[in-house]
Amino acid sequence: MKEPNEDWLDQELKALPDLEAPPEFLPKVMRSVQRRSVQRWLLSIFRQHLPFIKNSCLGFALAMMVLVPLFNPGGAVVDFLVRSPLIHCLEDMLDVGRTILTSLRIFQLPLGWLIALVAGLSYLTCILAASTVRQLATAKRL
Amino acid sequence: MVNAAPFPLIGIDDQDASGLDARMAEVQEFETFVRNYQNMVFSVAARIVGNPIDAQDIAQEVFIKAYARFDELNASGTVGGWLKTVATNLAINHLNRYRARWRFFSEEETEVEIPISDPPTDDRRELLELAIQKLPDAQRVPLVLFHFQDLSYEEIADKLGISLAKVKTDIHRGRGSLRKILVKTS
Repeated sequence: MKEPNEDWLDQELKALPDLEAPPEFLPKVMRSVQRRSVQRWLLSIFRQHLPFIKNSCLGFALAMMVLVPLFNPGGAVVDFLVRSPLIHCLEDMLDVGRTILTSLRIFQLPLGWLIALVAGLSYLTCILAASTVRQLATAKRL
Repeated sequence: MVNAAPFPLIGIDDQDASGLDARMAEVQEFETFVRNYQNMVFSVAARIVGNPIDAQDIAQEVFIKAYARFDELNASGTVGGWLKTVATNLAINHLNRYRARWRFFSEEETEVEIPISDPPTDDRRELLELAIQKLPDAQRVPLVLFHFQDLSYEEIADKLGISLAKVKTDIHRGRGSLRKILVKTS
């Protein structure tokens, strides 16, 4: 590939000085560097005190293992929930829903089965459509 | 009397505070480093992507990477080369990610025109810089890599994932466009 006037173009390109970075560039870079510097410093402090943090966590876990059976906070929560009217209401609603799904029949099929069937088929259709679109896009790109 | 070692409470002790001072000193040193190399890194990015705004983001990313290994870079004598390589790679990645893949259009012969709306300039260097920016990606990227990064045709082909013949053609076309503009305006 012969280049006429190659010399002068080469010279002009070679003589091009570096572009000047905009004045806002340096402060922008330094802001993000300072943020990172503080993060690194905090991380180094964390690493420095890691054995102490590990030991504290272990001690806390052991203390909890002793205290939890004594005070049994889980039992109190369960008691509260069992006594809650909301739970009873929820139980009744679920009962009604179960009855509807098992007793009501459409095309000789229980409603629950039908809903499960429709949901499964929709899911399969979505998967098939997505993979077809992907294959078509790949084929077009190639 | 034996001095007992202080209980290692979590908090900022003297050692941590001096660590912070050291970090601040390092940041100041890095500022000088950025000041020295910012024009070079910005130029590499701006000439490859052809857009000063994207170039700023790329140059910033380069310096953040440099900060992550500042100690290592400070000790080595090839800082400039490292910065150039990282800037080049990031700029090419940027083009591949955000623009139509330029190699698909490299077959087209494109006439470069500097719009009248651009500020008219008598400065030949400024004009050349503007002309490089206006070149289509397919011509500009190989041309910049060849002339400003001193890469060989083979290295450019390897970096851009295109054939050697295409690299030569694109550089030839780019040079042709630049020559036309410069001859027209001289």
